[in-house]
Amino acid sequence: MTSDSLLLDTVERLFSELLTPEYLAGAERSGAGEFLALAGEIGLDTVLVGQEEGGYGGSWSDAFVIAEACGRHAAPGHLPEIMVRRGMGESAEQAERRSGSLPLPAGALLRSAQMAGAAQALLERSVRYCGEREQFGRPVGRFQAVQQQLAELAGYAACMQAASRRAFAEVQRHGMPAGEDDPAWLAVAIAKCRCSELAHPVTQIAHGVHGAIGFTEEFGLQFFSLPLWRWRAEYGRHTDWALAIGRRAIADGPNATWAALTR
Amino acid sequence: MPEGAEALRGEVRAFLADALRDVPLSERALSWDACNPDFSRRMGEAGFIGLSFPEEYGGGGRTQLERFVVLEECLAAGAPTGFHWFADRQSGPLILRYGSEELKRKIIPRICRGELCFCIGMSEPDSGSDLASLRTRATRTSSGWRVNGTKIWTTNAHRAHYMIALFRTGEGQRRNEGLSQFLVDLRSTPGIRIAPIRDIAGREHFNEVHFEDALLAEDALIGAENEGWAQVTEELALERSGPERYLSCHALFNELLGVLKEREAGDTAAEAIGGAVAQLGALRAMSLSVAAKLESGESPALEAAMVKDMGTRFEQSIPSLAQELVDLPPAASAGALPYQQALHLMTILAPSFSLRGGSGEILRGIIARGLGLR
Repeated sequence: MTSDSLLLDTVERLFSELLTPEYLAGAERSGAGEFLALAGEIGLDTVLVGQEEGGYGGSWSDAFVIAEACGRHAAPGHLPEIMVRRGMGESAEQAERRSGSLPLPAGALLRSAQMAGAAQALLERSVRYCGEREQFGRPVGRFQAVQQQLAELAGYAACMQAASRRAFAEVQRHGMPAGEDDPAWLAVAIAKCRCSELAHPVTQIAHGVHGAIGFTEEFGLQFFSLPLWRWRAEYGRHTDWALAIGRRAIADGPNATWAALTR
Repeated sequence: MPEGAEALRGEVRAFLADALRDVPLSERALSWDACNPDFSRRMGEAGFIGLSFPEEYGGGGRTQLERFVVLEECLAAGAPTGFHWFADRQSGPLILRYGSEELKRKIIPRICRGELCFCIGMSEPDSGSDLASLRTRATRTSSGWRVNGTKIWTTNAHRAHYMIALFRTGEGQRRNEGLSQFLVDLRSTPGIRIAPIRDIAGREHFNEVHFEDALLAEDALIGAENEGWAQVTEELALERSGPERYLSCHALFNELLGVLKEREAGDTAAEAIGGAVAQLGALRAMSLSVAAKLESGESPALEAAMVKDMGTRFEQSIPSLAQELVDLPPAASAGALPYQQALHLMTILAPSFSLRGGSGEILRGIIARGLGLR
């Protein structure tokens, strides 16, 4: 199996060459066919299919790399869902047709990575814009009030990345959880809970520091903020996951939650 | 987690279950804020201090991630680790990196045995967040250094054997040039006066430390003369990223879970608790990724600042969360429940969590610099 960083390089090259702002604007009308075909050509859809079955033979850490990059580059279509369905043994046609809904933990896991990616993109775009946009005779990023906001955004984005990455690692270690009693459940629940909750401050800060230009269709910030607003409720809102985690924590009582977190 | 980390976790849990059997919740609630030399000695005997230090100096020779397991288990259980905490976390690693061979042989084994208490002399009366403005000066003499000035808010100075101090030794173009780190023997150096300062909880843990023509030997200098700022910055990555930045209230949180279970708390409480557990889990994931970077020799100052900023905000929220969910008010009186006594202490101490080791505003300034904005 190839290392994380080799896969990341491949994915970055394809995504950043293809998924330009102009392409994304066009893809809203023309669909995701071309992107999915190119992703299929380099085997991204079969990353979770074993090599003996003609797949890439990758791990859930590889799946994180792909799903996160899809969010960060606003990839059109449902490559992450197709990737998981192929890994469950479905054919390419089946996977594409049924890509819309996954079992709850798998869907929550994927969304957490896509959301972490979208948050990272909003951070990078916000930092760049605040370094360029001048008001009062200097870049707005020179103002402490703006710096504090961007630092907060960076912390939230890092938190989403870490929580999601850990959930993928736990699924790799213990298998995809079917329910609350399975060992990887808590990490998946935490990842989606945090990512959904942080979608709000992340988008508020990113749009806030961009001012009116970020609110225009032409500028393209919505390629990252609109999905975050949609994904935060898909496969469980943060309140749904918090309730499930909390009921369990209270029922299990002292020490058990710590034991579960460190299992 | 590396192989062996889980076995180690079991060993630490068994040790703590035994060692903390008679330690009341009010002491466990304080965790790394509580000094207990006997407990530290037991930790040392069990081999849990200096776990990642080289074996030739009495350390455990294990990885940063294994050390992380020991730390988080101590914090989760509310072990009173304050006596050896700074030595294990930052002073030991500093001496190992910059100290002479002789110094390493003299000091590190005693740290590992849990015998030594260190304090960190950074802040001064006019230099808090603006640390680079500090004025306490070490001047060269024929046989060493003469120190004059005052350090303040120095946690554990009144108990400590040694201070790792940052003094001005020269002038540079920038204020953070001309600073150097020193190892100060607090027990045998004339000209040092230590005055404890009572905090708002009535405890004495931080101090004013006066240097009045205090004479240090030539070899008290740690690392390179006038390169103290870079060394301190490295040290702060260790100081800011660890699990003590989100687990300071864990003994209270754990007790809160017990109270809620007993009272068969409903969904309002469950949702709030679940949100807190999610924050805890995510912070742990962030902190672990910093520990992995430290293990591979990086100095992740930016990520460390993020862990501390978000982590201390989380741990500060726990006493307030407890008050929202349970109608048992904080109380210091002897007749109150242990839970109420712990809540009382943590309510008062919580504001200090985001002050010690750099305030939130300073940390976010560091993050902004890392983002290229300053």
